[in-house]
Amino acid sequence: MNGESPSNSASDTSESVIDGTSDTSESVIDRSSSARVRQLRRTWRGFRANSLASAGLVVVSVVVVVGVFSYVDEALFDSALIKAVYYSPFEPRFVPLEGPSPAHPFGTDTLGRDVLARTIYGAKVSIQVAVTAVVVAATIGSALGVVAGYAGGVVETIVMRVVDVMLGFPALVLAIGLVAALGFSLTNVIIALGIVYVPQFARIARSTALSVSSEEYVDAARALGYSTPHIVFREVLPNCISPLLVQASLLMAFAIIAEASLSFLGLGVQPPTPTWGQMVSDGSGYLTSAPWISLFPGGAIFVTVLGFNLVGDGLRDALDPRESTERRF
Amino acid sequence: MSDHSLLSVEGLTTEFATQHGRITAVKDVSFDLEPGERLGIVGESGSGKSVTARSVMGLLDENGRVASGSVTLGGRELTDMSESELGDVRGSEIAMIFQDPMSSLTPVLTVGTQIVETILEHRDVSETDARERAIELLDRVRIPDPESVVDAYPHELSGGQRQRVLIAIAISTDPDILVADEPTTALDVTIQAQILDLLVELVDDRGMGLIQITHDLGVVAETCDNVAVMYAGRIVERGPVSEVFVTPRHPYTAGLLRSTPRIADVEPDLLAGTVPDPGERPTGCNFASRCSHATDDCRTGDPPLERAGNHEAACVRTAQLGPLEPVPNVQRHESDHSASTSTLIDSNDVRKEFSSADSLLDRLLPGGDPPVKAVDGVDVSLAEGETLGLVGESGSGKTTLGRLLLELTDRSDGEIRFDGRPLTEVPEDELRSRIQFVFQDPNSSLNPRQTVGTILQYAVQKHDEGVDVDSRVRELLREVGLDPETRHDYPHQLSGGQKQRVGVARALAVDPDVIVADEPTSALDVSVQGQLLELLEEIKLERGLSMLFISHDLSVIRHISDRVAVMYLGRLVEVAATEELFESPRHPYTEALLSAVPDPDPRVDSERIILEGEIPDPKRPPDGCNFVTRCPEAMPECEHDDPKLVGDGEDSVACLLHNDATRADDRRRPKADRE
Repeated sequence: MNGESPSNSASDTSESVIDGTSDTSESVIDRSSSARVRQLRRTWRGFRANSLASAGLVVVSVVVVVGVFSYVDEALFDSALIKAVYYSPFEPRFVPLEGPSPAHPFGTDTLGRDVLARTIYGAKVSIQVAVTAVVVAATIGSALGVVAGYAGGVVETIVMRVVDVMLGFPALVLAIGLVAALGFSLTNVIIALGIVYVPQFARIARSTALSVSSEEYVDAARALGYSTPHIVFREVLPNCISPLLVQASLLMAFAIIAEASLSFLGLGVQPPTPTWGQMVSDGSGYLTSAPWISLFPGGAIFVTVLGFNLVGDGLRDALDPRESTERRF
Repeated sequence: MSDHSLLSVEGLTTEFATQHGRITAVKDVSFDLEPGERLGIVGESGSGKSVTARSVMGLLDENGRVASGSVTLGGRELTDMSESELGDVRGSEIAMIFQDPMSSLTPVLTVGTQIVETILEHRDVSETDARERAIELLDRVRIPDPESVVDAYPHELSGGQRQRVLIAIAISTDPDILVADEPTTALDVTIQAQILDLLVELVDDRGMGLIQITHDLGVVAETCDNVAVMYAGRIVERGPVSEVFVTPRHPYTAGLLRSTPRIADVEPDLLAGTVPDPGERPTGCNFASRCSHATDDCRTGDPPLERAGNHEAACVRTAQLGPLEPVPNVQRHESDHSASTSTLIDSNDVRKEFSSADSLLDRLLPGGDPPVKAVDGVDVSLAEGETLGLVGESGSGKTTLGRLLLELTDRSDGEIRFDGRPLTEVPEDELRSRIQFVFQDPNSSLNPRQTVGTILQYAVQKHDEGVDVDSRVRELLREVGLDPETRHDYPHQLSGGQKQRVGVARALAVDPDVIVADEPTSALDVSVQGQLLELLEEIKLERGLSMLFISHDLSVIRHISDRVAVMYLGRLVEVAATEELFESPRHPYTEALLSAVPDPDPRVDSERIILEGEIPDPKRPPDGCNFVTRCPEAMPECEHDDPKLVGDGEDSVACLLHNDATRADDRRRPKADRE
């Protein structure tokens, strides 16, 4: 993921510096990592001070943990873990359309499956789609945008006009078109959403790169004869990360909604794999008689999206240099 | 304390609440201001001079507060006033002029509206009268054509004119006191001379009190009657300028005066060390750690401000030390550079035009704005081991010329030869490892996401892959006078001077033959600036480098250059050996530039040549000589004849007055006699 590259490059550096000084390597690690830790800590402090953002982080963490659990459970243990403590999300073993009760806190669906178990398993797809699609979009979009912003001229014109054309389509319509063309599968949903969100990252990366490129350290890099890839990816890109990171966390929320919408329309992941959107779709015919079938997965979407949005807002505030620099006077 | 004082500040202490607890920025500051008095408050950054002014005005940031002390204006206590009461006092009785004329005016309102608003706020007059008054005021601050400027937006005005507008706003309600916080720091030296002149005239005219806050000792010496020298939050010396700057009694005042680069023939005598941070001030005298006269007595208690001679100083050893010498007695070592060394860089009729027509449509359609001629036919050469000073005001094209030499900007026309070959034939890698750039802004020239070590490591590896990078990095840091451990720090953890040293180290990493230094010291404090200049000079001598030193500051140029080129509106107007140029300038512009530099010695009663107007629009330079619009000696033929840079060997000048060798000699003699 792109968002990790500053810390990656920083750790590369400290390692190579350490190589040269075996005698003092310990103090070197201390000092270089402590400088980095201090900076992280300052961002963390700013983030934590925002209590809404902390709440969002808790929600997102819970959803991620649940998603990872269901992924591991299904892939490695054939749902043995969830069966051991609860019920299988796939086997229709219960009375259909039963309302919430101590035995089935979220009730049962039309086929007699436990809605709570299916909601837990639904987190897997949502998280998988959101994270992968956004990582794909961020990687492609940021690279294109930064190159366009730094290079300018013809390169910029071509890249940005293509991006503008993509932005011309409503995101969901474009995604539906792509999935329809590629075929209905989880991978294709991820690919489609990854492509659909490229313009968002490209626009932000370009405008940030444009202002970063006029900084004197970019001139210094040119004066030292660094290669263009070095300048773009080592000097310019790391300084564009903050707004991209914020955008990524906000787009996670959109990706979850988009996946749910595609599933609702029957274009996404195919049954019996549970996804939140599909569950809402399944229950839509029973909204008056058995609202719990749609209500609980719908609530899960709502809470997760809200969580990602709060994290995004918190990150924006915490990473804003005007907020984070310590005011001395 | 006299009763008839206009403003009386008594024991003012200002604190700021920060994450690290309470920090005292200003401690126990007292001064009086009489009507018509011009008081200078001078100090380096972090000395608390601006905080003092803001405390007086009640304009402290949210986290600041006046902890103790009193500020009385005409018998009323300002520190107890509510915000709305203060609002009435501010503007009508005490007005402030801020440092940055670019950001002090609202860009969306016309200049006239902004003046009228201020008048209506404090005076009970009709809007028509207020507008009438606004035009009068613009005229009063000597803005040409005030009737049309009153309807102009701030972006349509130059920096100097905006500062005039700010002054007009400040005096619009006839305040008793004008507080000017670095009013000319952002301006060019010839414009600075105009503004200072105007300020002094206005203050004298209206009997206002002026508090001028500045880091520039020369500005104080030229404009103020009295001065308070601040160091680390305290006033260390106070008294009449003619006393304090001539017979300073506090070692800091003397040190500051001695470390200021001067036009005069003396080498600055540097003050070591830096100002302690407000949170880390020592017990005892704040200056003790940097003071060559310090004894154990200095480290016990804060010395109070006591009478010393005819003024006051806060030093326990005043009596023993006696008056100190403000002017360093080190004679300037004149450049020992011999002119016979081979030429390294030679430019021939180099031009750079920036076109404002950036879209295809603009380029196809006729008309539109003509291009900006940033560099307009410059011939300049740099010999091996030589330091060429390139001096000029903003907009003169000096930075563009520097960038052209490194091919950071593409030339529009002309040829640059490097080491005998045209620049186009020099391989990119060779060029990059032989010419390096030192940038102006220490906050922008280092990548904030990289540690100092990483920044240098890339440069070292670029130049020589086989070398032991880490030991080379440490060596470089030591060479520029930094602790090798600095390599683990991020730029924001360093001071301005340290950052600039890292910038120098980065340039040296590729072992260049030429360094182009673009205003490397303009963002630094006087003592730090001196240290950096000394470093550059040492490195240059040790490594046998050639250097192109770009600056707007003549005293700095005087200090470091072997030869000086003066630039005006994209052209060189005079090139001469440093001593020659400063002793007997030949071009009227050089002459005016020299006379406009404020001298920190109040005994020097220099005849100022104040240039009228401002540098013309580089899109539409005058027909004849570029300088004709401002030249005090312009002749009719200057209007249409464009003088070429002509001269005898090393010294050349582009002025019709000097096209004839005999006249040049005539002009030179009386100048030399006057010295």
